Amino acid sequence: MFLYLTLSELIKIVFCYIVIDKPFFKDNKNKLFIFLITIVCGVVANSFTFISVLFLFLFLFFLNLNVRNTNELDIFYLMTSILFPFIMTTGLNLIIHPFVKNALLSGNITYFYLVELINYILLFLISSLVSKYLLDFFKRNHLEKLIFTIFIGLFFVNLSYNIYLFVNMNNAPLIFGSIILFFAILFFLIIHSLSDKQHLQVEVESQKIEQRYLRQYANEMQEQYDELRKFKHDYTNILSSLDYFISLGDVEKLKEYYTTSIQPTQQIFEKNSITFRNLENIQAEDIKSILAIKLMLAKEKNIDVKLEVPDQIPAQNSLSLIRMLGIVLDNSIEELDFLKGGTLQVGIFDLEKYYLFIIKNNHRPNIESLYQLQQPGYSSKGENRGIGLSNLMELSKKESHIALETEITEKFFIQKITVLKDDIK
Amino acid sequence: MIPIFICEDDSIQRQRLVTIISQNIMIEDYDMEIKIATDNPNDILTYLEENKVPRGVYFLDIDLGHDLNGIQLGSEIRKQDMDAKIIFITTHSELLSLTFTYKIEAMDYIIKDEPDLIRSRVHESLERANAYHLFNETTATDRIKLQINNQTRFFELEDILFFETSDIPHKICLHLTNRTIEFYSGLNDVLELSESFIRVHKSFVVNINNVATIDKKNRILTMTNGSQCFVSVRGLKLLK
Repeated sequence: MFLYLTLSELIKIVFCYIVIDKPFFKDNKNKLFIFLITIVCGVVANSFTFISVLFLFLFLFFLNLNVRNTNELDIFYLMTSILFPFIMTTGLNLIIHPFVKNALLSGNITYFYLVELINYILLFLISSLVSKYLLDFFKRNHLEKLIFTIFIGLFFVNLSYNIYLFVNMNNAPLIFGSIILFFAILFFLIIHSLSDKQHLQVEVESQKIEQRYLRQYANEMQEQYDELRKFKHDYTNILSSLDYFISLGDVEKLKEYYTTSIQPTQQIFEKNSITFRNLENIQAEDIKSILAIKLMLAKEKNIDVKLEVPDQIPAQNSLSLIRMLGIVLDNSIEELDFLKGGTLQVGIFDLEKYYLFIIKNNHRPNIESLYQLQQPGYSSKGENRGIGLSNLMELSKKESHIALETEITEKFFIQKITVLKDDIK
Repeated sequence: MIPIFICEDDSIQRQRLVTIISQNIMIEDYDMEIKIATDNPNDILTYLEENKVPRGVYFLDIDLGHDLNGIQLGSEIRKQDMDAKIIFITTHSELLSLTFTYKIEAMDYIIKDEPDLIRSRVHESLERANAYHLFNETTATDRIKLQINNQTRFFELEDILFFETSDIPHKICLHLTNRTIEFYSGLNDVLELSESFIRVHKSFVVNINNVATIDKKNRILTMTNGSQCFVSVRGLKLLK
């Protein structure tokens, strides 16, 4: 009996929770977990029920974090739906309390059982109602944060009340120690789940980029295939015509036909861009992505792009490198877009002791001197435009394995980013 | 005697190249000789292994129909003959100007899509190779030699403005009029390269010839291109 009394609060909370969150218990494993928690808490509960209530809360929270998938990782909603059983149980206890007291005092066991039964029935009814209507209502109207605040307030009021009731000089260290531990674990769990969410968002973004790249690659392949088909067709025609002229023995006509028909076919090859095929040699996914994005951007602006990657380029694992490449390419593309002509040339080479990234583009006549362009905050395109060269240099200055070389010639702007291989330092 | 090597898989084109080069050598009376004209890149590599070749001239096709393409051949040649003068023969669509310049450090490239121009381009290339050969010794202009990231490069003293340190130890930035180059070295090491280099601040070594104005009050130097360097009290004394 005494065991029951001490455990009763815990059991009621768990009961309430099960009613509210039925889908959660489709999984048998969870039932077992809940059972285990209750037992553990019960052992602890021999000393102080309200402490074990705290840890029960933690356990439920933790379970939800691990079991649930990422769709429902809304912390406020989660906390609110876990807090509810606690509030419910405590609230109902307050109301029922006089009756329980009466029952115990009267010594009438049946009366006691009756009161407890009514307690459970009420809990069941209210919890079902809440889970059906109220929780959805809160979610739809984005009231989770408000409700959460109210619940947390009530939770703390209850906690303070319990502390006031039970704390004395002897047990103060134990009680306060447990409470601090509770908050520490809670804090950790919250931060942990927040960081998970962040990681997932980053992954989703990078996957989106990869998908875009793949789609563009597929399109490019298709275009090339079409061009090749057309050429094969023209080629056959040309050959048979040449054959005809040869059989006629007419050298003049042959020469004429040769010059008029070879020219166009040469142009086909010139226009044929092999840009995306060259990305294959880049094994580093992040470099491949940033190049794919920027080169696609350039092509969208009708900028002529030439990419040369004759060697295999492995992963570099340098965020600064990616940022630098992004800045340089953005600048080149802006300049070429402004110029409405010229070429963006990009080359990546393995030069034994280091890797070399070269980005070369035409620039407008009478561009400012290199010194001016490198001033902090300066942009050749006016106020608040682009990421200046000085930012690029700041990035490079901080890296111990990257070296930047910037050059302006009469016609070209050339950026060389050297990435030293690890064995050199 | 400058040896010339040709690697081209199409026999007609190869023969034409041989003819053009021979004629050019004869007309200009160069001290050159075609050592190898082949369609097999390994012939050239084997020759290089067996004979020490200083400063050969190499005309290489890109697509050799071999497991070794022209670029890779050029790379291997560069390893054996450091001063090789490499000229790529390429079509427009195969053109890889960055690769030629920065990976192989080729001297030039010739586009074979325009047959009329091949003769004149070959002529230019041979002329340049000959010029390099003759000017073996560096002329008396002041040149500074620097090891930039494992590459030896030369700069005219008058183009060098100043050197500046960065956040990373032993990483400095060389400022020229139209170029900035980051590389790994100590400031004190560059100090020794010329008498014109003065260490005016713990972070700056300047070329005194390119200092435009000195602001003694704020301790700032302005260089001929407008960039500014800090100067310490001791540096000011050195500049006097």
